[in-house]
Amino acid sequence: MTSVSPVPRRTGAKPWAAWLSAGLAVLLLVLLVVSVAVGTVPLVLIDAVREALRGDATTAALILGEIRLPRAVLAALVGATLGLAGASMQGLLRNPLAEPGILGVSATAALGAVLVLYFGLSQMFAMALPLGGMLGALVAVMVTYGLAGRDSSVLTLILAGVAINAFAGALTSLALNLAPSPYAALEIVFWLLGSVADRSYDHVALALPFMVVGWLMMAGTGRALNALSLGEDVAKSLGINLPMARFRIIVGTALAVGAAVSVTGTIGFVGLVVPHLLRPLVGYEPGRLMIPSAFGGAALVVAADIVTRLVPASSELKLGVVTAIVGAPFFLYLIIHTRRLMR
Amino acid sequence: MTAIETQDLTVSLGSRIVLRGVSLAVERGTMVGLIGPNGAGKTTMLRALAGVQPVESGQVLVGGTAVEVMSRAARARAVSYLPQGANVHWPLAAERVVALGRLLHLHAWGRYGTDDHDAVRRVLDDVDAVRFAERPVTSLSTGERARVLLARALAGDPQVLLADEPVAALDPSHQLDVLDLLRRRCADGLSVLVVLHDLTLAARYCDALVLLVDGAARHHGAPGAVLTTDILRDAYGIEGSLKVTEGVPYVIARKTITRGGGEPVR
Repeated sequence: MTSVSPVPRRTGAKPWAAWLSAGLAVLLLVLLVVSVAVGTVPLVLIDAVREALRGDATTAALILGEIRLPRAVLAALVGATLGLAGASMQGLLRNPLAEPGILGVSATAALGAVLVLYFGLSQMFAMALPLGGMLGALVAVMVTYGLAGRDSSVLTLILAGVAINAFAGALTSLALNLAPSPYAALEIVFWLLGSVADRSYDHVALALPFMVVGWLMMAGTGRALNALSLGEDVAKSLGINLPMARFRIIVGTALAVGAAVSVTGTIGFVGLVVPHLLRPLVGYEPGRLMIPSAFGGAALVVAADIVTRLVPASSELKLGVVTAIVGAPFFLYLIIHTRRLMR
Repeated sequence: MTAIETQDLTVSLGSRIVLRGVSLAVERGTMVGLIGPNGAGKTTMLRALAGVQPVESGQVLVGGTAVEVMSRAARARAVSYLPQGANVHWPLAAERVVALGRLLHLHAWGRYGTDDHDAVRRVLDDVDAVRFAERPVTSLSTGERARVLLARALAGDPQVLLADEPVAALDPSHQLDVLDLLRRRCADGLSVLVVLHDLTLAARYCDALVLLVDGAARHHGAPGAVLTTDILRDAYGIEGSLKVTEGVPYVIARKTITRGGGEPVR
C-alpha cells in the first residue's frame, strides 16, 4: 500500500472496495443458479425453467419452483441476515469475536421453536414452529433491555447476553431431557442443527417482513459504527446518537436473526466469519463492512447448502453442521494469519 | 466574545462530587490551559464541556448559546473533543481516522467531497503525519498515533477544541510542533481549552490558566498570576517557581513539601 505521491490522492477507501459488493452479488447469483440446478433429482435447468415459466405442472417445474427455489432464496435471505447482523454487532461491540447470537437472540429463538416441538404444537399447524421462534427472539430483546437498560455499557450487554444464552441453552436441554420419546428428542436435535431443506414460500413469507425491517433498522447505523471506532466518548462528541444506534442494531438483529433462526434453526459461524473475512478488504471500516457482509453471508450460506446436497451420506447433511465444520477451522486459520494486526 | 464557557458547573460521578460550581470562559481565538493536580476534575471538566458527561447543575454555553437549545449536530460541529490516550478499535488507515473528524460535514450518502479531502490533507500535513497516512493506526507509535488523533480532532474545523493532554506522549520537538500548531490555529480563530500537566508548556503557550483543585476553580488568570510560588505550594504541594530565561518562561519544581504521612500540604 505505498503511494507514489507523498499525499494520498484519495481520502476514500481502497478503490476496489466499491467493487466488492458488486463482485459478491455476482457470486451470489451464480451460486443461486447452481443451487437450483443441484439436487438428488437430476434436472435440465433450462427445460425446467421454461416449463415453470409456462406454468406447466411437470415434475421438473415443481421441483424447481416449489422445492429448490424457496430453499435457495431462504438460504440467501438467512445468510444475508447473519452477515449483516454479524458486521453490525462486531461494529457495535467493537470486537471481532462478536456474532449475531451474542446477545442471546439465536438461543432464545431456538428455544421458542424447541418448546413448540416439545409440546407438539407444530402438528396442529405448521407455522407454529417459526412463530414460536420469533416469540423467543422477542423475549431475548426484552430481557436484554430489562437487564442492561437503554444506556448501558457494552460489557453489561455482553454479560446479559451470556446469561440469556446460558439460560436458553439450559431450558433447551431440559426439553431434550424430558422429551416424551427418543423420536421427539431426535426431532428437536435435528431441528437445532439448522437446515433450509423442505422449506416453502410460506416460510419465506413469514420470515421476510421481519428480516427486511431488521435490515432497515441496521442499515442506517454505518456512520455511528465508524465513529465508534474512536470510542464512545468521541462518537458522542461527533454528534452520534449512541442509544439510538444501539437500539437499532440490537432490535434489528433480534428481528432479523430471530426470524432467520425461527425458520431454519441455528446456523453458526456465518455471522462471525464473513465480516471477519471481508473486513481487511474494506480497510477495516465498520460502516463499509455492512453491505459486503450481507452479500458475503448470503453467498456463503447458499454455497454451504449446495455442499449439503453434494456430500454423499446416508441422510442429507445439515446446513448448520456444514457451516460450523468448514467455518471453525477456517476461522482459526484467519486468526493465526491476522493476529499481528488484531492486537 | 467567549467561545465556550461554563456557569456554576457541578458534576457528580456516582455519589462523588467531582466538579463543584466551576465557572470558566475561553475567549475566542485564545488558548486556555486547564491545570491542577491528579484527580482535580480536569478530564471530567472537558467531558462535561464536550457533552459526553451529563451535568448535574449549571450551564455550558457555546458561542454564547446554551447547549440545551443547540442541536446535537450543531454542538458537535462547533466543539471538538480529543480525549487522553485514546484508542482506535480497528486497524484503520491513519487518514481514515482523520477523515472521521469530517463525519458531520459529509455530503449525501456519506461521500467525501474535495473539501473534506483537502481538510484531511491539510491537518495530516499540520501534524507531520503525511508519511504514515496510509499505515494502520494500530501499527503507529504512541506519539504518531497521538498526532493522528489530534489531526482527527482538527479535521472538522471546529470553533472550540477541548484537548486532554494532547502532548503527553510526544517527544519534545513534536510537543513544541503541536502546541505551535494550536497557537497558529488560535490566530485563525480557534479557541482551545487544553489540559496540561507540564506547567512549563502551560506557562509558555497559554494565554490564561485555570487551576482546578478538588473540583473547584481556585485561580484563573494569566500564567504569571497563577503560577506563583504560593499557589504552587498550596495546589501541588511543591516548592517551585516560575522563571524566565531568554524570554521563555519555565516552571521549576525544586522538591515536594510533605507533612506527616507524606500527604502534600493543601
